[in-house]
Amino acid sequence: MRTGVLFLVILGTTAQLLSASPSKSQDISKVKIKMELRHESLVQAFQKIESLSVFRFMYRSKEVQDVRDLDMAYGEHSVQEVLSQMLDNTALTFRQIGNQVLISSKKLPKESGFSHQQSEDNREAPIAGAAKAVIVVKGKVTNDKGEPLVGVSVTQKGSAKGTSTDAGGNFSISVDEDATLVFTYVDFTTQEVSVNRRAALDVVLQPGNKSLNAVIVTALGITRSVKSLTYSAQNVKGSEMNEAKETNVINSLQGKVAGLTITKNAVGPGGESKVLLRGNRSLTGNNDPLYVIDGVPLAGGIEMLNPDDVESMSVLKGASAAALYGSQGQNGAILITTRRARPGAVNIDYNGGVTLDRASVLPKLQYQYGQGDGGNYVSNSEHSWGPKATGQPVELWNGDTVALRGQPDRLKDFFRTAITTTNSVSLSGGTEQLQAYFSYGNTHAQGIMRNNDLDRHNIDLKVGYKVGSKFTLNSKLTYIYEDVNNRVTPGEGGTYALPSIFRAPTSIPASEMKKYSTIDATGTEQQSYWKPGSSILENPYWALNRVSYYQKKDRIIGLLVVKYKFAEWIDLQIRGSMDKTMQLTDNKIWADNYFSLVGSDYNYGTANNLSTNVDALLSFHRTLSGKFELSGNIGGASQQGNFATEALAANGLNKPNFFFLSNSKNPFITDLYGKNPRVVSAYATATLKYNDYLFLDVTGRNDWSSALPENSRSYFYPSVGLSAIISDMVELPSWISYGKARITFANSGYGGQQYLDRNYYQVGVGGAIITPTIQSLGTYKPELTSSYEAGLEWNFFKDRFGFEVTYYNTRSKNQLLLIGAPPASLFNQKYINAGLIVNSGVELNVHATPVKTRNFTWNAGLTYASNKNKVKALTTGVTSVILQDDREAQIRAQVGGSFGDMYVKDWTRDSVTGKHLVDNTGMPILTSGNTVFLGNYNPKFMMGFSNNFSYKNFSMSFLIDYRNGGYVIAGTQALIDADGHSAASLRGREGGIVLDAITADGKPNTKSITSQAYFGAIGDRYPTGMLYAYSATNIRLREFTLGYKLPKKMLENSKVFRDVKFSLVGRNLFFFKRDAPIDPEITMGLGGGGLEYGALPSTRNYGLDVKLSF
Amino acid sequence: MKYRILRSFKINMATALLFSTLTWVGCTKKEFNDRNSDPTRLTSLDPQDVIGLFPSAQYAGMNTGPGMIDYQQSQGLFADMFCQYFAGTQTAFASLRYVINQQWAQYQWYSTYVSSMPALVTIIKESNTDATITLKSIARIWKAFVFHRTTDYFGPIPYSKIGLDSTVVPYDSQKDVYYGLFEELTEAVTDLKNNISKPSFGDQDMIYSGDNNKWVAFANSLRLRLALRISKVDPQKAQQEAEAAVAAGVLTDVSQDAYMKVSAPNNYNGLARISGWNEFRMSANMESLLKGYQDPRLSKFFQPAVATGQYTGLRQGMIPAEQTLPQNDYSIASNLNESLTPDSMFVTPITVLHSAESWFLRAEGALNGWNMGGNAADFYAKGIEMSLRTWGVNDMTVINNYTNGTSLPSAPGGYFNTPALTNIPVKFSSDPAQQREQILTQKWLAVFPDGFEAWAEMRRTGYPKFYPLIHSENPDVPATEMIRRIPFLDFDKATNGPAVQAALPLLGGPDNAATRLWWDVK
Repeated sequence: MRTGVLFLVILGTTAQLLSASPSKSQDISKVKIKMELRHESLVQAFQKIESLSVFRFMYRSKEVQDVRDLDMAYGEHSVQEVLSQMLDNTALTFRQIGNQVLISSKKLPKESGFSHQQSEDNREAPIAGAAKAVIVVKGKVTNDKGEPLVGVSVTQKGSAKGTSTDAGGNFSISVDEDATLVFTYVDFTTQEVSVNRRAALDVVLQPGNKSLNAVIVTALGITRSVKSLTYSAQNVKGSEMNEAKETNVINSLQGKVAGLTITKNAVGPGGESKVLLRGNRSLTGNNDPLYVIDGVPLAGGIEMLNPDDVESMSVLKGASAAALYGSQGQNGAILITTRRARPGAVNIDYNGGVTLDRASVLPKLQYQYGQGDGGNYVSNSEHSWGPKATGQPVELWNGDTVALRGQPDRLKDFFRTAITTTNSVSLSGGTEQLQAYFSYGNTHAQGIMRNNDLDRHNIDLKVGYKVGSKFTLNSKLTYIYEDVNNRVTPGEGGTYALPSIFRAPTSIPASEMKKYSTIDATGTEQQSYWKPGSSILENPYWALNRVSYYQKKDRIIGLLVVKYKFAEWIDLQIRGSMDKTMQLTDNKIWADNYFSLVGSDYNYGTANNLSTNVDALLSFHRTLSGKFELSGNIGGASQQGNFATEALAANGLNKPNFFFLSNSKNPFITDLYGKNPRVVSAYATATLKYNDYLFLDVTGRNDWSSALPENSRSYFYPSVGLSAIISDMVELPSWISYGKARITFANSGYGGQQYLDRNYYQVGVGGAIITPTIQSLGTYKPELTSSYEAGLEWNFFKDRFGFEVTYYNTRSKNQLLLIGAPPASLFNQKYINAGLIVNSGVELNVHATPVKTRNFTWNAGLTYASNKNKVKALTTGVTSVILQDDREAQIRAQVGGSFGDMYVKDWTRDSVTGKHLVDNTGMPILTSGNTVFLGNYNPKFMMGFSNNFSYKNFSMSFLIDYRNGGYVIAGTQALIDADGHSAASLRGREGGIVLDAITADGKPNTKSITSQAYFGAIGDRYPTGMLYAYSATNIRLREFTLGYKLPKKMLENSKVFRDVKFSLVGRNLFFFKRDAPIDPEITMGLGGGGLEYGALPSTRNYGLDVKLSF
Repeated sequence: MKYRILRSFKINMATALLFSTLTWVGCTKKEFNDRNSDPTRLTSLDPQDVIGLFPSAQYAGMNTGPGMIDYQQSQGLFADMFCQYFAGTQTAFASLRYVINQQWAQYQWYSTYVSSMPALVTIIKESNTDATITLKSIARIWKAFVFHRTTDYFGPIPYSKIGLDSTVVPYDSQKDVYYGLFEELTEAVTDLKNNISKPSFGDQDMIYSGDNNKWVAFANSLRLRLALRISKVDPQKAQQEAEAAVAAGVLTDVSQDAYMKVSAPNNYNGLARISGWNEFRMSANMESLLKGYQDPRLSKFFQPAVATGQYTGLRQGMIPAEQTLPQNDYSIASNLNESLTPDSMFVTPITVLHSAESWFLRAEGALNGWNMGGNAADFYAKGIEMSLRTWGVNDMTVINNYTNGTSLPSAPGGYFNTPALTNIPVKFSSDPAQQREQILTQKWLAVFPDGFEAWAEMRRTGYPKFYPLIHSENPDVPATEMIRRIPFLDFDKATNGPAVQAALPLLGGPDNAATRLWWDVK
């Protein structure tokens, strides 16, 4: 550790050189001071000398802290004399460098394995940087098992020279012959090794004190040591995600990060997910975190990334963590670092996988009664209220005669076993000066719906270029091509395929459904459906084949970063990026789709989005007097976006089923183009470090947003945080390896959406002028979030066990709310700045290594997070805002309640006895609207429990995910109950149902109603939500992997592969507990929680993953 | 060399820094303001734009067009069901069992206040010159038309203070609304008559293409309609308004029938659009009357059932278990005529006001002893003639045979063994009590498919008779009764709470679907 001093020396001296002070340094042997010491420590002594002279001391606190109880009689001595006297009999020595005095060890302890000699005779070297012999040092870095470590940073201490290990763990660096090399790697103990004129150096890094040495990428791409962070941030390595990977890389974070809630949008492969960090903060605005890839804020579309390109992700959870991202980072940020090249030999890596998906949670149906109504077989019925299906012959709607029987496998047949294959290959290599990384990945993913698949190609090219020792240039160009056939639309939208298969009578054989069309006399294809012209449904196979949605995206992300190092302690980085997505959509609707009002139809559109970011960041790092170190950044940024869409709707085709634009009957073009707000920012951060155990963090940012009116355009938000490494500050029992406490107060602001500050009229078809329905907000103010969080991080028993706990509280005010306006004000909605939403919660991470032997290791981890949301205030006179008004429930934010409170239809009860009420025919009396409070859809807490086992070349891991609380309404169940398809609808088939209820006059109900009447009343498309509400609590085996690495020896013989690993992976394998008849994670869309309606079933998947390194 | 590169780099760097700084600083007010102005929309209106406001106001008034409008949810699932023109066949739609679904009912509110009125209020405000007085007058007439439908749904509504405040907009009593509408119509007609030759909306008038004379007759017919509406509660005012309206000239001939043009993609015929979903069918009421009278309009309104080839109607208020029985299935019942199915949604214009109605209004006025310029029998016959002509029946023999028909309504029978709706023939009776039922029954047929008007007049007069629902699921309204109004909206309670509270006493009863409106006296 002593060699750290060198770095300080350089910083200090360079600072002096740069400050160009003309004063000449004084000599410690000539300057005399008068002082005495009485049982004082060495540090106190230094302070005294500093107060009496121009000299400043530099030392490592650990090295000097044991020198105490110094005594010296009062008198006048030269500083040199004083020091000689004090350091006599210690392991320390001193020397003067300018006006600074460096205190260092006389010798390095032998046990480090590498001797380091700071010989007295080259003391002048760090000062003048005089020419010395330069040698090339080569070596290999491995872990304690002898496995090569890839990407270990190797730097020459006190210089800008650096490299990193290649895929074989090898490095090569040319350094001064007496240099000290610093080896840094995430989760490993940083090691310093003196070169000592050796040309070959092999280093074994110990997976040591994670907490002390870990580094993490934070806001603006600044890498910081974890111990200096004053807020909660969690790092997830790519290797933890891309084994049991998902097409959308974000989904792989589920259960691995405390406080992160991911809800998949069930639309098949490539779908977005709803991602929440610490709950919903904004009522009607955006609650998505900011995604930043390699330092550049992404304009959405995270699901398009190639999971194999991801090296690591940092999750900055609160506003505090993301204060520096300002407007966009209010909901936290997820920073993605992608893989890049290291100097060294060319590496080729291949990663391939095959995954099989199966629908896992399907509705429970009945197969005892056939198609029909009222107990009779009816060939055009959409229900299964027919007779007992005992195999009697019946004539189907299409004239075929079949035996009337339940068809239990039909639903399973409808959904296929979907195959997803992924291939990605990367090539990297380079020299110290120039490194390049190229990767190509492709994904072909099938959905379980037979018409749904995705193709994606990702190409990534990164080049790093170093000119001299001060200037570096990094560029990245990413191209993504993605096309998706028939992204699934849940519920009654798009193709209607899902509700149609769920709601098909259970006695119709799949083979009959598959004859989905006939040709009529005019030669036009007609749908063959049992109830022609149905108001809601279609033949499910027709729906799969005769409605198509195609979407194609081309996306280019470009990034250029230049960095200039003025001096060791200061550099400037300028970064520019753009993210452009060009999208094409194509929607064909064949004639005889019942939902179409105009027969066969065609819609075609394009959309272009471009967002650009430019920022500059000046970073510095300086040692102040003694134990203080100051580092910080000053920067500015500008962000803006443009969008343009064009859509053409045919409104019917002249010649049916010919899909091209000039065949349009009533072509109608809509186009939209405009500009997203421009946000210009200036920011500064500073971290003051004291003695390497106390960190004070201050940030400030000012934004100017073009979305805001002139007088409120500018807004400032600061943050301040403190982190203390208690284990370094005080003497703790040796079994405590690390102890940290931290606290942060932070603010952030949101500059809003464009075009909201005034009312606009639209120009419609034929020049009609259309009045606005939303009242603008002339006094638009930025939204402000203030938060505080406090946390502890403690590790014990050499880091074998540890935990991190955080409490946070976030208050969001001045929210931009879009609320209902009295329509008689001539607006239906209005924007207001109001509200106070408070989120508070606890997050806990526990990690343990219960077993660790030479061959066997068991690591376990637990994450826990709970969030409480309170709506404290809305605006004057408004106590409730309707967030979603759905058939199944009304979702509100109500003062005193929480975001996402659900109100539903209920079965009325007698106010005295509390018994359910029926009318005089025995039918339940239901409330007329969604007026009864059910509960909230958000979970109370979430837990993830992960375990990793490794034995020799085998590894095994699993992750159990627990979500507790919240409600979900099972809309599909309500449909199939009313239709008589569900197993539940068997209740009272024979003999009817006498409901346990009373009539209005208080008498017990005696009237029997049919099963069909009962379920028809409570179920169907406007269900009695209270009767279809389920607890969303579930526990599932989220992930399971079993891996095997080919032994080294075998590979060495092959001479081709460096590394070969096979893994069997599974995701969403089964539930340990689940109350709802659906997977509660499946919701109706990105906006709505808690509502399920004709949703795509969730899937269980199994796969094989292969990793090859050449 | 290296030094020079570095040096020039430093200079470049400095230039870049300077440049970027300047760029940031250069984010002048103007650049920000420009960036925050939507290039595709207007912030202010020129005179031509003011005229351009009228089409959407017109379409919204008929619950069609772009914006927050939905024909099905504002009219199809309420007035059209309650007046029993149709019977609902979609099991999930409980409004056919008298359940008031607030999510749907608010669409009438939206189309009035958010889609129609903002444009009308703007036109009225911006058209204060001599040259634009015609715009103002016609906008006021249309405003009266839109408002009378909305007040007849809910009773008290915000009327005189609309658009004045964005937090609380008070309601007016229905009486004040009606008095206001009379005033609006009277003044508009006066102004329009005085400027009859000046241009008005021209092509942007989707009903009369700028024919000011037709607008005058339209306004007077509407005034006559409103006068009859209040004839029970306020007979004196009613007579006065009715006589003034007739004197000023009401609609008399099919050539003056008010239809609204349709066009793709937004301005569709709402009824035609929703009939393709098979969610409602001809009612048993229609079957009883049209089949019993051998009415030539039967095949104009409806088409034979797909499964049977017969004209069959269904009963209102079945529960799902009954709706799905083969005997009640929509496939055995009549859908609307092809001219009112989706293929015609951009073809068949929207019925706004048939001139036949004015003849029936005059007939009823005459029965009341008012000076309507003739006698009830003649007006009744004229009304029938005009209605038949409206539907393309121009053969005088057919018309006369129908007018003098003595056959009685038939009994639909069917699953519920439905009897005949009533026992009156078409031929005008000599009994004044029967005459009133005949006039109103024929008017019910003549205003088809305007469910708003049919339902309002059934509430006021009790005619034509109606079948009790099979089931009512609304505890306030038994199956044998008619829905009297639509309760105040939850949406307005949430956004305009104090105003709704203040309006409750204006109802004269609880805020439910059983409370009668001001003009709806027993």
